This record gives sequence, C-alpha cells and structure tokens, in this order.
Amino acid sequence: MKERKIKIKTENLEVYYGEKQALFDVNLEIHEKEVTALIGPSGCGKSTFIRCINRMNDVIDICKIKGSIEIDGKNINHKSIDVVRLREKVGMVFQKPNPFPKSIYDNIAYGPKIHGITKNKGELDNLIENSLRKAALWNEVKDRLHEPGTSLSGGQQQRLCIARAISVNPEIILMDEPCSALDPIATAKIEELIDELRETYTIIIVTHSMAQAVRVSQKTGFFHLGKLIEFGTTEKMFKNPSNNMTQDYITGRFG
Amino acid sequence: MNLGIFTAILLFCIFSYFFGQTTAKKLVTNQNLKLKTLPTYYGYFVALWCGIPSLILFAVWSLFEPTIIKTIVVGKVLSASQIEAGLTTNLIYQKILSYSAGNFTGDLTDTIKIGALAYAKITSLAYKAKLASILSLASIGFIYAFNKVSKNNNARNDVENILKWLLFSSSVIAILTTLGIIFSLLFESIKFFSSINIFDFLFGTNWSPQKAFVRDASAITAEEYLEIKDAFGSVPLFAGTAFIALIAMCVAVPIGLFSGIYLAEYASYKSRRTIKPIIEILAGIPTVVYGFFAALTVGPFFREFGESLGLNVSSESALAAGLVMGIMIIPYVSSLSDDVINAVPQSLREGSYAVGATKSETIKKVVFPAALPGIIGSILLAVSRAIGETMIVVMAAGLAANLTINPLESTTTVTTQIVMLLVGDQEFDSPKTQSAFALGLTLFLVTLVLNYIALRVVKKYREKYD
Amino acid sequence: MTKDQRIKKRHRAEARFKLYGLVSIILALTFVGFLVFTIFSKGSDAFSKTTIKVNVSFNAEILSLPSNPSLEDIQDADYYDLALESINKLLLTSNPDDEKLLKKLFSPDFDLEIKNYLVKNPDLINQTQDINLTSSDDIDQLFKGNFPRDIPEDRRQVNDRQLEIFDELVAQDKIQKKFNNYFFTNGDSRDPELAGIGASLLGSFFSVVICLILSFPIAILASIYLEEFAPKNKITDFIEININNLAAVPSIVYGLLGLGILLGFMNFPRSTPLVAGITLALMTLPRIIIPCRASLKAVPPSIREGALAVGASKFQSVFHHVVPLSLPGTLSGTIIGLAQALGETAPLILIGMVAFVVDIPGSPIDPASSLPAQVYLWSESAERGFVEKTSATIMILLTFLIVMNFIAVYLRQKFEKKWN
Repeated sequence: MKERKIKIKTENLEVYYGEKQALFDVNLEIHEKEVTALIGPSGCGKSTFIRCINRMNDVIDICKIKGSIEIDGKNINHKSIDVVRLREKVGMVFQKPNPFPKSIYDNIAYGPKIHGITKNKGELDNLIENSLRKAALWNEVKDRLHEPGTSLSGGQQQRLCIARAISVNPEIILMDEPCSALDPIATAKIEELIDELRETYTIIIVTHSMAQAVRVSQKTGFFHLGKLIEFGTTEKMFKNPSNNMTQDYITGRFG
Repeated sequence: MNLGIFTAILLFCIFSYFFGQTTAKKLVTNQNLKLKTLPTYYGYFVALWCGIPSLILFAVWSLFEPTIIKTIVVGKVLSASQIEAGLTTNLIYQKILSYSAGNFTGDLTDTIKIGALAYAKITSLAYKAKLASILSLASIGFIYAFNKVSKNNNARNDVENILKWLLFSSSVIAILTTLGIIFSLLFESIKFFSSINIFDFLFGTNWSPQKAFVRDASAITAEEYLEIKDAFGSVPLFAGTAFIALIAMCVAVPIGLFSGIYLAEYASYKSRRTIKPIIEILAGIPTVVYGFFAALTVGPFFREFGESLGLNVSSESALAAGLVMGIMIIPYVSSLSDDVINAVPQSLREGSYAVGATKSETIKKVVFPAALPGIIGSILLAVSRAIGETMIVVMAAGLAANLTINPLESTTTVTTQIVMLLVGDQEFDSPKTQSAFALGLTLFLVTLVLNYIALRVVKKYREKYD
Repeated sequence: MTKDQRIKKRHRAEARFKLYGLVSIILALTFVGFLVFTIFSKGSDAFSKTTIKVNVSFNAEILSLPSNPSLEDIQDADYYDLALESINKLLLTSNPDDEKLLKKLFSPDFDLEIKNYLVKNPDLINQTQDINLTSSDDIDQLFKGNFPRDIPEDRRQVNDRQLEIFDELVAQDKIQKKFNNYFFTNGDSRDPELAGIGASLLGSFFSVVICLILSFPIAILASIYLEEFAPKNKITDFIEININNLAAVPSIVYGLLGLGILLGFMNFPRSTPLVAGITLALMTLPRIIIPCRASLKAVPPSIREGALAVGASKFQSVFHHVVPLSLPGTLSGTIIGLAQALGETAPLILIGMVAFVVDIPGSPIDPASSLPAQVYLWSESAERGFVEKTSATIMILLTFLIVMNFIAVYLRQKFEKKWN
C-alpha cells in the first residue's frame, strides 16, 4: 500500500484544562483519505485530541494549547487562521447525535446557507440531496424532508449529522465515538458509511470498540493518560503491537 | 392579652410534653411494659393533642372576635340612642374604639359613652370566655392523649399521622389564599355590577368615578344612575395600562435579552459572576424607589428636554413611567433568558460550530430558536409584572383618564386608579369603592391567565431539555 | 461576492452582535449606578441638621416655677415666653418685625427643645446656658447651600432681612451643622426639620416580624409536604398551580385581599402592622415556598435512602436528614422573601399603612407607617427638606435590603453543600 500525502501533523502538542494537563507531547501524522482510529481507555485524551483539530476547545475558557497542529502544512492555531473557515474544512460528528431542533432539510441547509455555498434554491436542493445520499439517508427521508430532525431514530439522527457535516464540503471529518449511543444495526450502517466516505474525506474516528477500529480504520493510535503510546497501521497494531501497554489494552487486560 | 393566652398555651404544651414522656417512662418501670417507641414520642403526642386544637380555636376566635364585638356594641348603641345625622355606624364604632383606647379627640357624645361602656364589658367578658374555653379544650386534648399513652399506643405512628395532616393543611393555605382573593374581589365586584352594567364598565370610554362619590349603592335613584352610568368606563384605564406596559417592554426586552445573551454566551465565567448580581440589584430595589426616581428625576428631565425642543411634555408622561418600569423589568428578562439560554444543550452549539458557524450565527439560528419558548414564557411573566406594577405608575403616571397614544401626555392605569379610589377612608357601600374591586378582579384575571400560560410554556420547555 | 468578502461580512456581523450585548449590559449597569447616585447625592444631607446657638437663662420667674420645683413642675411649665426672650437676645436691637422674622428661623418646637434640656439638667434653674436649637427647614437648606440666594426676594422662602440675620449669625459662628437625631427618633411631622422615620421604622419592623412568624413555618411545612409526602394526584397538582400563580399575582391584589377580608370582613384595626404583617405573609408565602422546595429537591435521594435503610421512618429521614441539609437554602429563600416584603408598598397603601403617624407605635396594633410607605408619603411633599428626607429613607431601606440579601447569599454559599 503506497503512502499517501500527510494531511494533519501535530508536533509537541500539549493541552491544559486550567491546572490539569490533558495531553502530553503528542506527535502524530495523519494521511489523506484514510481512516485513522484513536483508541484508549476513558479520559485518556482521545476526544481532547480531535477537538484540537477543529479548535472546538476554543469554546472552553480554561483550555490552553501548546505545540503545533498543521493541516496541509499550515499551523491552525496561528492568528491568521480564521476558525470559521477552519471548521468549514474540518467537519465533526459528535458522540450523541445532535440535530438542531429544525426540519431535516434545514438541518442540512444550515451550513451551506451561512457559508453562502449555493446560489439558488435549486442548487441548495441538489446539495442537500447529495449530502443525504452520501450519508446513506436519502432513501429513508426523501419523503419527509420537512419533518423535524429530532423525529428520526438514533441511527438516522447520527447519519443526519454526518450529512450535515458533509454538506459544507469538508476535507476532514472528525468523529467522536459516533456509534456509542447506537444499537448494533445502526452501528453497522454507520461503519459501512465510513468505509465509503474514505474515498473522499480524511477521517479520524475516536472509538471505544477495538473491533470497530479494526473494521473501519487503516491506521490506529493508542492513547493512555494523555500520551500517545503507539501509532501505526491498524493491522500491525492489533497483530503485533510494539508496546506492552498496547498489548495489554487490546487483549483486555485493562481499560 | 392575646399574647398572654398564647404563652399559656405554650406553657401547657411544654408541661404536657414532659408529662407524657415521664408517664411513658413510668410504664416501663412500674408495669414492666415494653414501650412501642421512644418516650419522647409520647411527649410529642400529648403536647400536640394539647396544643393543636387550642391553637386552632385561638386563631379562629381571634379572627372573628372583632366582628362579633362590633356587631354587639353597635347593636347596643342603636337600641340605646339615636344616631346623629351624618354619621355611619362605622364612624361611630371608630370613635368608640379610640375613646376606649384613651386617645379620643373631639366631641364626646352620649352615644360614644354608652358604646364605650358596652365595649369594655364585652371585651372583658370575651377575654374570660376565650381563656376559659381554650384552657378547657387544651385540657380535654391532654386527658384524651394521656389516656392513650397509659395504654401504650404506638405514639410515633400517631404523631406522624398528626404531623402529616399539619403538613397538608399548611400547603392548603395556598388554595385558601386564592379563594380569599377571589372571594374578596368577587364579593364587592358583584355589588358593583348590580348597580353598574358590566358592559358599560368593560366598554365605556369615560372614566370619572368622582361623580359617584359617597353615594350609597343600594339607594341610587334612577336619575342618579343615569348620571353615574357613564362614569365607570374602564377602556381608558386598560389602554393606559397596556400602553405603559408596552413602553416598558420596548425598553426591557431588547436590553434584557441582549444582556442575557451576552452573559450566557460571551461573558467569561468571572465577569458573569460579578455582572449578574449587579444587574439583579435592579430587581431587588423596591418599586417605590423607582417611583420616586421617575417622579423626581426622569419626569422633570423629560419635561425640560421636551421644552428645549419646543415640545409640550407632561411631567407625568407615560414615557417616563414606562421607561422607569422598563428599567425595573430588565433583570427579570435578562435573568430568565440567561437561564433559558443556558438550558439549551451545549451539543447543539457544538454542532453549529462544527460546520463553521460564527458565535452570533449559532446564537441567532440555533440557540435562540431552541430557547424561544422559554424566552417567550419569561417575556410573558415580565408583561404580567408590568401590568400589575403599582408604585411607579401611582407616583409617575397621571391620574386623569386620557385615551391617548401620545407617550408625552399623561395617562393613567388600572393599578393607579385602584390606589386612588381606595386611599384614605373608604365607604364600602359606595360604587366608587366597589369599582376598585372590579378593577382588581380584571387585573387579577388578566395576570392569572398570563402567568398560567407563561408558567406552562416555561415548564414544557424545561422538560424538553432536562 | 467572493468568499473572502463574505467571511469579512460575517465577522463584522459577529462583532456588531457582540457589541449589542455589551451595550445592553453597560446600559443596565449605568441605570443601577445612576439610580443609586441620584438617591445618595440627594439623601446624604438629611443625616445632618442645622442648629442655632442660643443663650438661654432659665429664669424661674418667667417660667413661674415655685422656689423648689419638682421634676413635674419643670415639665408642666410653659417655656414659650422664655424661648422667645432667649432668641430675641440674638439681635442687639429689638424691633417687633425682626422678632417675628427671627422666630421663623427656628423649628416650631424650639420651646420644647429648651424644656427637654432643662428636664435633663434640672439644676440649671436660674442659670444661663448655651443651647443649640434646631433651625427651620429654610435655614437648614440655606446653610447646606441648597437655596440659590440670587433669585428675587418674592420668590424666596427667606427674605432679605432674614438673610442678613443669617449671615450675621454665621459670622458669629452660632450656626452649626449637627447630627440629625430627630430623623431616627421622631415620627412624621408637617415640618421637614422635625420629621423622622421612627414610626415607620418600627412599623416596618413589626410588620416584617409578623410576616416572618406567620410565613416561615407554614412555608417550610408546605414545602416539606409537597416535596416529600404529597401523593401524585389532582389535589397536589392544584396546590402547585396555586402556589406558582400566587407567586406572580400583582402585590396590589393582596392589598385588596387585606382590605376586603381583614379590614372589611373581619374588622381588624386599620393602619396597623398586624394587618400589614398578615397581608405581607400571604403574599410572601408562595415566594418562600418556591425556593424552599428547590432546596429540598437539591438534597439527593441517596440521603433519604440511607436513613430509611437503617430503619428510620419516612418522617425521621426527612426531619433528621433532609430538612437540616436544606436549611441554608431554605433560610436564604426566606430572607429574600422577607426583603421583598420589607420593600413592598402597594398593598400597604390599601390597608391604610400610608398614614400620617406622629406617635411611635408601641405594639403591632397601634397605627404605624412603614419605610416604603413613608417614602411614598414624603415624595408627595414639594419641600426640599422632604425630598432630602425621602432620599435618606430610601438609603436606609436599601441598606437593610442589601444587608439581608448579603446574608442570604452568604448563607447559601457558605453552608450549602454541593451535591454531585
């Protein structure tokens, strides 16, 4: 398998919540159009890490970030970077599906509207249909686009959120345990979807389930207590980890 | 006097507590019984049986005593002598009371002397009767409870059952208060509407109740009725109230809402902690202070400012009253909307940020629509406050009932008129006094509906995000 | 529109929106500041009064006292002539017109002040003593610099000759500023220099104490019932709806309730703290029940379960554990409710608490006023002296409210446990 272009690169990344340090010296390279899974026990910093990539941590007053994160070679914490444009480029799907209390249509139209991506209603309709198709939701909702997004089932809501993330044409999609609130069937659908999306997007997925990491990802990183313990291809990581702690974790001895 | 009886009841209770407790302990030593519960509960049991019935009797007696004494004294006076012209029984009774209290000034008439004598007799008799009946009731309760204790009842269960009733009755007072309000308002309003047509009241546009000053409602002649029939048109009052409330909301809603949004979404934790209490000071300031401020500072300022522009501004303008009322309401809107906005789940905001929305876009298009029901609820509550607010309008708005939409003129409100009609000595039989209760009834009903809707909306909203 | 232009526009909108919020906050804060500033700048003068030093010789003959007067004789004597003579000595020349003008420089109670002085120091008979007598309101305002002197004489309360006398007295250092004890000890008066908040302060005190005695126990018991014992049924729902609505009923409606039921139906005495206290208690009750319930609700169920698990009855678990734990919140809610009751005016007007009360009430069934009612009453008077007194009364009232609120916040922050 040939090495793809480096999309995201972090160097000496450290994150503090007030006094408490949440990430220690994380150095990581993530390649384009691959699925990278981040695993590790609860509270190990996986979620903190991906929230750095679209600067979602800006929302938290006491959060401080040191070190650099580069996307396509540009430091995203530099003051010339506009966080709004960054987030347009880096989409995110959350642990719990969080559709807006609006119609399905408006949920997806929201992003394109604020960014002015489409010029008229026809274009917008097309974009919405495309996004829903890409999120494998179109067939289920095409007849009820104007019902509230919250009326969908949990799995459908999560795919709606994926469609919402896709709607602004991002390059990267961050997924923070997207299946943790879903049942196995819905989870299978989302995993299938992730596999398809890999063609177009760079995906980072935080997951609790090692089986899921194996199923969907090409690369895996193992976090423990805020440190990146090991990073490599998923295959190698699960068959032959180089670190004892990783070994212990994936064989279920702790975590 | 009453304090003495109250102390007596308390002492009796304390005595019965210890008596019950020691009796129970004796049961153990003398008859070798095993008590069903701790001795203190036997003490509580006797004390409650001794105290509660007598306190209830005490309260009920005290509530009705003045009325009964009054009826008897007035009856004695009426049977003994003729009443001088121009005096009502109420006035005479007032004089008798002040003569008895020893601070009477004015002409001392035989009527008053007879009345005072009767009053003194009856009060002392009433006091003796009250003391005797309360003490005997306490003793009956004491004996009943003591009997039960010596049979080793399960005192804890009994005490808890009594307490449960006590708790329940405390919360029923809320219902009684509502009933009391409705009763007192309806009672006088019905009398009012029996002399003045309800449609004339609700839809008439002329308010000049002074025409009906000191006239016995039950003895209004047909001519008099024609004269006062049009004096009670309340439309100008409702219009004035709505108008001033509208001005107030125009001040309070934008400032309060934006303050609330800023506090919830932009302010840092630290500044939020200092700014919020300072704004809430505005809510803690008594309304009479706002009234003083409006009448003394804001009103004259507007008048002078208007004069300098060549405008004729009344010093009791609707604008001044409305503006100050708006200031008063700011914290209600800001605090409530701050709470409501905070209740919107963070995940919705993150969802919006994640597609690249700015903060204000997120607020305007996601947070605000999600919080809208709660915000509407809090605005409705604020409107209800504005409508019911009294002191600011009494002191800063006018008294004359103008039907106007010019904010620089003076207008009057429902609450102002209630105060003006009832300040000083009232004659309950005059339609003028009764009209105040009719106004109060409408005010009560309107605010009731507003509050009910607002509270339901807010409650539903809370449940949605809990 | 290019993408960059669009982004710039969006950021401008963002900045604008944030500015609106900031401006609103600043406006609200300015209102607080301005209000407090106007009241305090007007009111601070009321805490001092102006006195004129007069040399009084307590001549037993003028007072027509017997040779060895008892305290009663001293009290019963007529001091008016003596007082007039003493103040007339302020001017070297005697002129009947001047004497009239001179008398107007003093408060109408100037003879009483001389009497009270002698009653306190009875051995001063047939001796002379310098006494500081309270000046009239006009002189008070003049000395405090609140009267413009350059307006035409006919539009001034103090005429030119009086000004001359005043200036002479000032030059002799006979006019002084003293602490205004009357403001705290006197009842109401038609003369601003003699008016005080004594009657209204006590009236407020009695009313609030009665309100506390009635509302606090009932509110606690009711909240315990609703939060811990009430079954989920229609009666409970109805009680809850009632309480929530009552908390938002305009206060003036409670005034109508007090007027209609307590005064009209039950013939309670008018203008008394007793009726005010009961009316305020009914109004305060729901306002206390709501925070009390919240504070009971905040105690986690695990505490109740823990008590029940060692065999406590439901009552024991509630009264031994839940109620003590909720006490800080309960007390702080009660204090805030009482603070509201203390500042309430509208219902008191209707039950006659806005009355001209000169005598200090000795018990809750004597006629009295209350602090906010006093503010309302004085605010109707145009004299500058009353404006000053009104503002000062507000300052006292606000001080009480701030202290009460501070205690409430302190209680909550210091003693309330944070449950996770």
